[in-house]
Order: sequence, then C-alpha cells, then structure tokens
Amino acid sequence: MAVVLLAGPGLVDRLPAAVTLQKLSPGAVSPGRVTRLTCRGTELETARTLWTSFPAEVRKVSAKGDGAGQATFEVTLPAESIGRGAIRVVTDRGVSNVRLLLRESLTSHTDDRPADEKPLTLPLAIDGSVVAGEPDRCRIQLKAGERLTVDLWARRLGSSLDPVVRVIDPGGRTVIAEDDTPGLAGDVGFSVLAADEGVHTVSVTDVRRRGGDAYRYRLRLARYVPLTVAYPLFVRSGQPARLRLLGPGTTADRAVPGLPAGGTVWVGGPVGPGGGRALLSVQVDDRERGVESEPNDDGSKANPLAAGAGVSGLLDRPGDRDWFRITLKKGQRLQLVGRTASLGVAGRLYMRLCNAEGGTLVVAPQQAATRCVLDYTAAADAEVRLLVEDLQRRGGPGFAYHLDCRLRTADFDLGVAADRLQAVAGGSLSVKVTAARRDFQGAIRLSVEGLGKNVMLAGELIPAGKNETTLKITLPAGLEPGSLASLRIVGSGQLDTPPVGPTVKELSSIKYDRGDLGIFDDFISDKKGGLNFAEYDVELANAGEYLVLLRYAAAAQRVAVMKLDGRVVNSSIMSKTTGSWSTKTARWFNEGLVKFPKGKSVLRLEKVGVFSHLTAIRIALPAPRKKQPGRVIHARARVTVPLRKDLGGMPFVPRELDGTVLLSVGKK
Amino acid sequence: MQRHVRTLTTSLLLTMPLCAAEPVVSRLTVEPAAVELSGRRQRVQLVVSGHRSDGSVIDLTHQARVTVEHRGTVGVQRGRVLPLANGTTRLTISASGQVLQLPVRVQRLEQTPPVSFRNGLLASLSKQGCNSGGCHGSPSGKGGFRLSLRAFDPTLDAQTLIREQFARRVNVFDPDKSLLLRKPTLQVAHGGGQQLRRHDPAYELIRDWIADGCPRDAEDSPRCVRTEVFPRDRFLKSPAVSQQLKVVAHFSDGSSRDVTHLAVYSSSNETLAEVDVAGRVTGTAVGQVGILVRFLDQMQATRLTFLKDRPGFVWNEPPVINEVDRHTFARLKEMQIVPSPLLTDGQFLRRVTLDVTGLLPTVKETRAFLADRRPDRRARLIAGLLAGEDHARFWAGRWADLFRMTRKQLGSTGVDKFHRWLVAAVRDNMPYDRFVRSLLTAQGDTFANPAANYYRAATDVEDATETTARHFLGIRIQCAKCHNHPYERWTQENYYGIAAFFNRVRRGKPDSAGNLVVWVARSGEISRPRGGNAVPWLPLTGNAKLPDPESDRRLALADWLVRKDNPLFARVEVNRLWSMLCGRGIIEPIDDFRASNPPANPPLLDWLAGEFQRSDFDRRHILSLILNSRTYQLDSLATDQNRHDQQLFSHAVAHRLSAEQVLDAICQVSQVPEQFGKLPAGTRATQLATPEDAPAFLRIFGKPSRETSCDCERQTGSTLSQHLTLVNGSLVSGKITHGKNRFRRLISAGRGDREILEDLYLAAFCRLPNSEELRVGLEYVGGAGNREKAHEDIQWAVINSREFLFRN
Repeated sequence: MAVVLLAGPGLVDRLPAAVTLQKLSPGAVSPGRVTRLTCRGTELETARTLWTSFPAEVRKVSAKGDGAGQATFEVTLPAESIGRGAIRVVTDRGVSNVRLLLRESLTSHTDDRPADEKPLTLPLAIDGSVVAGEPDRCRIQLKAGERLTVDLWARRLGSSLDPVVRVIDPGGRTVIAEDDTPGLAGDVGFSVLAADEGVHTVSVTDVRRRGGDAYRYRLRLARYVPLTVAYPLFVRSGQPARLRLLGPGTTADRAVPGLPAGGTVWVGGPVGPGGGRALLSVQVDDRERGVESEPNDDGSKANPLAAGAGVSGLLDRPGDRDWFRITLKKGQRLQLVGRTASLGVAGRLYMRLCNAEGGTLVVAPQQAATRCVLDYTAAADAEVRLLVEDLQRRGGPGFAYHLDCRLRTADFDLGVAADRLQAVAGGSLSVKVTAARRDFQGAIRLSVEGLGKNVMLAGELIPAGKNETTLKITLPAGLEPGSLASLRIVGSGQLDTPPVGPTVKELSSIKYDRGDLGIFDDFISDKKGGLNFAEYDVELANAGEYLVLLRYAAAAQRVAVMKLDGRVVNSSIMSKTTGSWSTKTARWFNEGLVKFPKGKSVLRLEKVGVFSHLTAIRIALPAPRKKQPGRVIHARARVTVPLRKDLGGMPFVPRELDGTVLLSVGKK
Repeated sequence: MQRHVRTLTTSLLLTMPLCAAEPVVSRLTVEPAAVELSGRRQRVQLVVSGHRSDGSVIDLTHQARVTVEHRGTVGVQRGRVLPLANGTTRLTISASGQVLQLPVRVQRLEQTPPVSFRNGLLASLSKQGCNSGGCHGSPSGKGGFRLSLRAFDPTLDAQTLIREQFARRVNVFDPDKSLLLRKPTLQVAHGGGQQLRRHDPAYELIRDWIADGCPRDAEDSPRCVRTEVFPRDRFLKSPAVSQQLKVVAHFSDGSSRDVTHLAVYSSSNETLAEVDVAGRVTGTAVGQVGILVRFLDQMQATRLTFLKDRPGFVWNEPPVINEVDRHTFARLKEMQIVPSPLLTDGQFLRRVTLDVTGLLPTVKETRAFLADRRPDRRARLIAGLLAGEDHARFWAGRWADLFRMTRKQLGSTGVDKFHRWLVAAVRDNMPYDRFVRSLLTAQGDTFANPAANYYRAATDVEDATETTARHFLGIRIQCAKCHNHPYERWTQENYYGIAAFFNRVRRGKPDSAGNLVVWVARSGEISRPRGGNAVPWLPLTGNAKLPDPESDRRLALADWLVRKDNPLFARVEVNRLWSMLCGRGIIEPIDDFRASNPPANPPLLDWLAGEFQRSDFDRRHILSLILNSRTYQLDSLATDQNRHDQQLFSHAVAHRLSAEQVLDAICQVSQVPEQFGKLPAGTRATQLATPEDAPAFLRIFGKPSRETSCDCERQTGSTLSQHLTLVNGSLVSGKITHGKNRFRRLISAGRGDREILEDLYLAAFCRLPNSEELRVGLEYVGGAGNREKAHEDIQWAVINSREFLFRN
C-alpha cells in the first residue's frame, strides 16, 4: 500500500480535500497517441501535471474553460499500454483524489448525441452518465449475423452506477438484458450475434433507476470475440511467461515479457474487426507459483501442494473438482486462501479439507465475496487433501481461481487513513495507523519507506495489545518543493513470546471465585448460552510481566478473551486445538505476557458461547532469552478509508492502487 | 332458527311429490357387491343407489327395505350390516320398485382379535372428538388430560392413557368403571359434556380395549395406509338431497375393512350441506360441496353437487369464444344459471387495461379503441397490453408481494435487482416451470443471481418449506410442522420430508453493499421432532432420487414439481392467474388446495392446467385465453338468473381498485404525477419495488407491507379512513387544485366545458358522459361563480364515485 504524500505550507495533518477530480473526458486515453484529457473538479487552477499509475508523458496545456473547475492535459502513452489506470491531478495546493480510466484505442463518443442522429457503427466507445429513471440509449447499425460485443465499465472505474444493459433489435424486441456479469465486479459484458440487419439500440440504466454525474460509465461496443480470463492468474516478475486467454469457445495464447513485481498488468485479446479487444488483467509478484494440472478430479489424483506455494487453477467445466494434497506436521496451522472475484474472474470457491480416508476435516466458511479462507491445525503428522470447486458447481473458461497455501503464524495487518498527504520539506504531518492483529499481541514498530534516511518519526510504536497510533512524520529538509514521493508505512513485530520460566502460581480451573461456567469432572466449559465467564482472584507478591498459561483440550477453535481487573489483556486466548475434547489430550498453551499489579487482582476468562475444556491456569515468570532473538514479522499498511470513497461501487481496491501513500512536497 | 329453516327445506324437498315427468328408478346398485364380516366388531355400511331414467343417481340407502334371508346371521340398522352368527345368507334390498340381492358371509366371530390401540382405540377417540384441537388434543390438553392432536403421536397417547395419573384412567377389572368411559358418558362430571353414549360403536371398542388389558400395538402391527370413500363424486338432482357415504380403510398387511362408523366427517360448506356422524350428507341448497373424511391420519374427500330445477330457466346459448367458455357455460347450464351479458367496449377497455397493466387507458387510447370497428379489436388490445412493459411491471409487483420484497429483507440494492429480475421474467414471458426452477434452485450472490433472493426472504428451512408449498403447491402445510394437518392428508413426516430439500441451503451475511451469498452445503440432514433424520420426500414418487449424496436436493424437488403428472403445480398457477383476472379463484382461497376444498368448476381447472402444460407453461397464453373468453368479458351486473351465484363466474366480480391502482388512476385522471421520495419523477405506484417507498395513501388503501408471503396480506376492503382520505385528504385535494392539472390545461388551451367534461369521463370511466350527466355537469359549471372551482368539484366527485374506484 502506498500513500501519496504532499508537502504543503506549514504542518499539515489533514487531506487537501479542496482539490478534487470529478470528471474526465474522454474516459480513456489511447495507447501510442496523444490524448487530450480534460479534467473537471475543484481548485484545479494551479494544476501542474497528472500523477498516473502507468507510464505516460503528461503535458499541461491550455484550453477554453480551464480554471478552478477545469484543467487540460495531453497524455501520451506507449503503444502497448492498455488496461485500467489511475490518475490524480497534481496542483500547487495539493493532489486530487484518484480517478480510474481506461487505456485503450476505441474511439470515444459522448452520450449526448441527438436521438435522430445517424446510427453509429462498430467499433466505438461511449462515455456517459445516466439520468435518474431514464435509460441512456445509443443506436448502432448491425448486419445480420454480425457480432456485437458489449463491455461496460462502471463499477470497475469507481462509478456509482450499477448498470443494466439491454440490446433491442430493430423490431423492438429485447435481444438480451444483462445485470451483473460474473467476474466483472457488478459491471456488464456479453457478446451476441445480430439476428436481423438494422438499427439496434443499446440502453444503459442503473438498476436502482438512479442517475447523475456519479453514475458514469464507459460503454465499449465492438466485434471482437470476448475473453474472460488470462491464465494463469499470477506470473512471476522478471520472467517471460506464456498466458492462455480463455473465453466461451475460444482460446488465444499470448507471450508476456518479464514484468516488474507488484500490481496488475493488463493484456489484450486479439484485435477484432475494425479495432477493439478484450482487456484482461494478470497479477505479477516475485513468488514462484504453479498451475493446477488435470486430471485431479478425485482425491487419489490430487496435485501436490506445498506450504508457501501458490497455484492457479481452472474449473473448466460444470461440476469440475480440483484436488490437492498437502503434507503437514503435527501442530502446523495451515491457511489456504482462494481468490476469484478480486482477480477479476467469475465464481466463488468452495473449499473442503479432508483426511486421507476422505473424511471432512474442515469446510471453509463463506465470508467474503472476494476470497475464501480455510484454516486448519494439524492434530498429527498427516497428508491432508483439499477439494476446490465452485460454490455452485459451475465451471467454464471464466472459472479460474488462485490458491495460496501457507502455514499460519501470528501476524497483523496495518491500515492508514490517508491515500495522499501534504507537507513542506522539513515540516511534519500526522497520520493515524491502525493494526488488525491475528494471534499477535506484541508491540508493533512502524517505519516509513520512500523518504530517505533522514525522515524522523514519533508515535511509531503501537504498544502491545493496542491497535492504533498517530504516527508523526517529520520530512527531510532536502526534499524538493513541488515534488511527489510515494511512501510506504511498514510495521514490524517480535513474534515469539519469551520462554516460560518458574511457575509462580497454578490454579485449578474448576475452582473459580466468580462466574457461571459449568463444572465438569476436571474442567469447565459452559453452562448456558450467552456470555460465559470465570473469575479468579490472583495475589502476587511483586508487580511485573508474567506469562499466563492455560491447559485445555479442544477439538475445534473456541477463542476467548482474557481480562485483568476488567481490562482486556488478550482477545484471542484458547485459540489452539488438541484434536479432541477429551481432557486426556489437554496441553499447556502459552497465552503471552500480562502485566500484573502487586497484590490482589482479578483474572477473568470470558466468551460468548462454549469454552474449550479448560483444566488449569498457570502464572509463570518469563525465562531470560538466550542469544537467539525471536522471529520478526512485517506488514505494510494499506489505505483504508479514502480510496473506498473514491472507488464508488467497486467491491475491492485494485492492486495497482493498494499500498502506497502519495506525498506532495509543498513550497514554503 | 336457521337450523329449523334448513330442516324444513330438506323436508319439503324430500316430500316433494313426483310430477308426471319425474324420471323413474330403473335399476338398483349397492356398494359393496358382497358383504364379508369377520369378527364380532366388524360392520359394513351399505350404499344403495337408484339409477334413474334420465341418467341421474339417487341415494336410497335409508329408503330401501332390507330383509335378511336367514335371520340371526346378521342384523341391519340404518344401512349398516352387523354380524350376529357365523354363516352365509342373502340380503334382499328393495326400493322404488326395484329389488336387489346381496350375498353375505359371517365368519370367525369367536376369534375376534383384540382391539388395536391405534386402529381401534385411537380411532374411537378421534371419532368422538376427544383428541381434537378444542378438547384434549390442544397443546396443553384439557382438565389435566392431554392427547396428541388427532392421534398423530400414538406413543405419547399410550403413555397418557395407560400410565399417566397412576393408570387411573382405565380399570381393566371393570372396564365400564374406567374414567375414560365414565367421563364422556357423563357418569362423572366432564367439562366437555356428553361425548359418548353406550350404544356408540366407539364405546364398545374402548371398553373392549380396556377389557383386553390395554394392549399396545406391536411394532409390526398393520397401519392404515389409505382409505377409500364411496361415492367419490356425485351429482344429486332434486328430489335427491342426501347421500350416505361408505369408508373402507386399507392396511399395511393388505387387509381392508369398513370404517364408516369410525371415520370423522366434515363439510366444506355447511350452508350447502351437512354431514352427520354416520356419514350421511344432506344438501340444504344448490351447489357443490366437499366432504372431508378422516380416519386416523388418512384423509379423503368426496365431492357432491346438489342440483335443482329452476322455474322458468331457459339457457340463452351465449356464444362460445374458446374452451374457457365451453367449460364455464357447461357448468352454468348444468346448474341452471344464465350468464350476464357482455361488457361494452368502453367497460372492457377499462377492465382489461386495469387488470393487465394496473393503469387506466389514456384518453387517446380510449378514443382510438371506441372508434375501432374491427371485429378483432378486443383481441388486438389484449395482445398489445400483454406485450407491454406496463404489464411486466404490474404483474411483477404481484410476485413481489408474495416474495416479501422489502429493503429491510433484501437490502437496498438487492430489492431493485430482484424487482428487475421479476419484471424481466414477466416481460420475457419466462416459462413458468423455468421461473419456478430458477427460484427454487437459485444460489450464488443475490446481486448476480437475483432469484437467490427467494432464500433471502425465506430465512430458514421452515420458511422455505412453507413458502414453497404455499406458492407452488397451493398447500398450507405449516400446520403439519407440529402435528398432522387437521384438514388434509399431510403429515409431520411430509412436512419434514419437504424441509429436507431445503435443509442444506445456507445464507452468508450481507456485505457492505448488501450482497449476500446463498449456497448449498454438501452435507447435513434435518431431524424430525420425534427423532431420526427426515428423508427427502415427494408426494407422488416416493423418496427423491438423488444423483449423489452431495448433490443439491432442490434440483430433484424442482424436477418433480414441474413434472406434468404433478397434479398441483399447473393447477395452482392457472388458478392464481384466473383469480387475478376474475377476482376469485376456481379454488378459493388460491393457496388452499385440498380435497375438502373442491374447485368450483373442475373441468375448467383441469383444462386450463392441461393447456398450461401443453403450452410449456406459457403464462401469457393462459392470460390471453382467459382475457379473450366471453366469461372474462361478462358484465359485473348480476341478473335475476345469476344473482345468487358467487362462485361459478356467471357474472364478473366487481372489486375496489388496489391501492396502487387507485393512486395511479387519480394521478392519471388529474394528470398530476406523484413524487415517491427520491425515486425518479414519473414513477408510478404500480412500479414501486418496495413498500418502504410507498406513501401513507397506499398503506391506507391496503398495500401490504410484505411481512408475510400470503396474498391475504393485501387489504381489499373499504374502510372509513379510505373514504376520509378520498373526501378530505391532501393528496386528492392537491391533485384537483394543482395549477397544471387536466382541466386547467384544457381551460388554458381554450377548451369549452363540454369538451372538458367529456375528456374527464373518458379518462376516468372510458366513456363519454350520458346526456343527463352532461346536463348536470354543464349546469353546475355554468351556475357557479368560479369556473375552475366548479371543475375542481366535478373532478372531486368523479374521483369519489364508485364507478371510478371500482373495477367493474
């Protein structure tokens, strides 16, 4: 995640909200040519240039109407530059919000053509916005048997439009009416063959019958054969790759050169008659990844999958099943992440982990549309098998997926509440950084990349157990005024808890002082629905950090909360499993350091619902570390709120935007 | 008093002297053809039928004289044969001058088996009403004595009767002293009054069961698997006014026996016919009635139609346009009811446009139609309306009501997407089987596949089960969730058998945009309340055949549902379509198909259902057939010959416009559109996707809030607040005083008062004002000091008129 940092006059810790980019005309820039791009918004009179997420030459030009509400640029793209891109207007007063557009060669028209004007001929693109309650219509001339490929971009460009596209034949009959096309984030794409020669009407409406400037779209109308996915979904950076471009009943191959890591690369399908081509995305990173190989329709033919590997798969026919086998050691925590929609492909995954005999170990819950996550902790050394299929058992050329297989350790994600910042060289700014922790409760130390060594930070520590800090960044004095810099906020944390030293106190779980948990033979678990808890009065001779260890048995995760004197000290205790509910399998688990006061305090364990079968509690001193330091984990902050606002109806942040904050260095 | 009148009527009918032309009985038949009695408790009911020269049948069971050849072998009481001694004999039956003989055999009197707990004792308690919902079958029982409702849980009943209260309910040493007998016979106080007499067959069975030591049934003891009722369907033409029924139970061991004396009877319409405890039905008026016959958990119904010659009846041979008319008129002729005349063109235009699009025709459309002299103008109009977008939007709204389409339930965007899907389904005339299959088997994201909202509205297994049964099978199966259905054959097993099809449906949580995923888990079974997993069940084909254990069971349900041998699927939908156009279903209520609720015109329903299947479930074809029929186009004004008919469609049913129609009609007539919140200008009430967008006006006029999946949630009656809203409300007042409304635009254009009045009448009533209306109107405007105020008054009067507010 990158944040764009703007350095403005004085200390700035707020976004330069006044500079906005609201409308682009046209909605695309053409590869290999100069495109005159008109940007409309507010506070644009000092516009200097454009920031683009793609290589481009940008020249500010003067045009009629330029001023606070408009700025005009000439943008020159390399000949092969296609796909989606992001731009911002850079002014002396700051950087605007981000706006997405296409890079493609179709001729752009506007949607304000008179109804009686001559029908258009393919290929073309229309940039428009719908009016509330009324369909936007364009008339096109088609011959009998001629292909019409419709590719409407709205949600994928951050528009609020939830489009419905209808094609009406010369007789007034609806040929096709399409709402959300799978894999297009709510947009619409299809291809039809005209049955009759004549003027066809293509209409665009919002499904909620809303309209206005925010309901913009780019409607691509051409004759190319539609393609749905470039496969595999990931390629390794720096290495040439060969992609298969798949579509209904069609396949094309495309070689791509070694690409730089990070982000999304766009490839085009074969050019259709007169121009126009399918635009497909591929992700690039620096990991080695594989491709699922058929036949693997049953467990006995499962593909091997190693922890740490990634694999692209294809459910190429309805009912297709892909099996993988993974070898695990006892206690290893496997995490499998399947992705579809966030990579621009159709489908939603169903994932089930089975043992060697085919018995189900765990089924991945269906939580987010963009990915499917399966967690499993191995109860013993074993080979497990993973079944992947479409949730609805669909299949076809669009039903690709990517699977990441990793061993889960404690980690965290960071978020930053700004996508662009502004400060003068030598000045400072503040930004809020939040942490989402997963089994990691230690302190997180933040650093900033992209500003050189002389950047100074304050508030760079997110304390143990806390989830946010206000990071104060003081810029190096040597930054050039008016320049842009991409900065990244990175956090690191010490993973391992200290080794366990001498026991100070050990308590039987069933002898709690207050609570309402049900007591069984030698453990407590639950008494009723709702909030269950147990409280223990703990008296210690000395204040200090002590390790709390819990002994329990659990066949499945039942995460609970630990409080000391009413304060949450660990929100994910009892997160491990032992393979059985029988207390014969109970083991001690280190739940981390807790700062105890001297004298009496109340240790409380609580959970809504059923506890793991808890038998004992131990409070121990941490043992001194030996020479070997604990492992360190890192995470980069992702932009949280602002991008979401700019991306309208898009259900996820595109990878090309995710990770960098843009800093604009202002003039003193 | 009513009872006395009925009895008197019956008596008069029975004692009516036969006139010279009265057909005579030419042949007797008796059911059964031979009597076999085994054991001393068995009884056989005779049903003696007289076949008359005109082809009609009369029940003579209670008029016939029966003599026994060998006295002492059997006795005959009220047509019921009772065993007295082993042996064979013959019965001679004579009635209406005809004689018939019937062989009888009595055997194994000395080997009478013990009374079965279920088939004897519980059947007796059911017969006497002890375990009905109002008595001890209520959830908490009565007086500390609780039985399962209509004996659906024999295990619980055995425990209650034999063990509970220290077994004091039965006295095996002196059975007649048992509380179980003394209470209902009022030998000791009984809150329910006298429910049993010593001579009742049930008394003997209960006493014998106690005397036998209160045995429970063995695991493999025979269970009743079906019952047969005779006659199944019979027309009884005056002077025939009664019919004895006969009920035979068939058991799992292949045996069968007469249970007429143990069956429970009820009439679907007691104003038409009553049935006594012995199964004798007596008609009190002309019409059709269903008699529900229940023995334990088995239900059957028989359909009886009572006819009577109407003085002065002359069939007027109305022209038959299509098969709809052929079946409707055949039934009317049979019942000696003359249909009303045809609507005028203007009335027809108004009715059909309202029914198909929910809107009034425009003045331009009305003028064009009234000027059209082509003979097929009505058919052309119907075809045009059915193909239009307004039809799709209006009829999609009907489904939206049933599918509980609200923002609260489906989310803000979800509701619009589902609405669009429904509109497209109607617009594209999606075949009904595909429509239903799309809904029932839907899964995936509700945004990408709006049909999956079916399972977003139906939030759990029970809801999906009951909604599906109601909409697509016309069955109110919810009763069977807790106990066997009291008025139908559906059991708790059936309920959970259907539920097993939906048990694996899972719903995610809505994401920030309101999208939600519906999917089908690969495993999971539903448990029945009384233990064990429920097995997917299909009413006709037994257990569902599923390709593999992980497959989506709903596919099997959908396959079965749309099969052409499914007796309900097509009938339910054509009945719904008929009801929407004709104001009343052929079966009414439309979601209550059961044997005891017979169709008003079975051949018509059968033909429409068959035509629906033959057309591959083309709803528009059925609508077109109905709309083009003369039956649909009959006047709503009843005549002296059909005034009494409320169910055979001899005249149209006039009904108040729906809430949306009223509002849209007011907007159309005033030419002042309504603004619904932030929805685009020009949106009509009939186009609203959800009730959340509806103004108070619509709620006052009964627009449903879509809390339930029942048609009945829409209020169609008239209320005081509706009148006040129309008379005094700001909405109407705002329209008629609006500066650019219909008449003010005409005044501004320089039109005269006559032209303005004609325009108003055409807009509101699809006709020109008659001379009297014109005279009064012109005089009123001419005599008023303020011309615009006068026209406001006239427009107000038109909007408040019955002709405007009703679809006639």
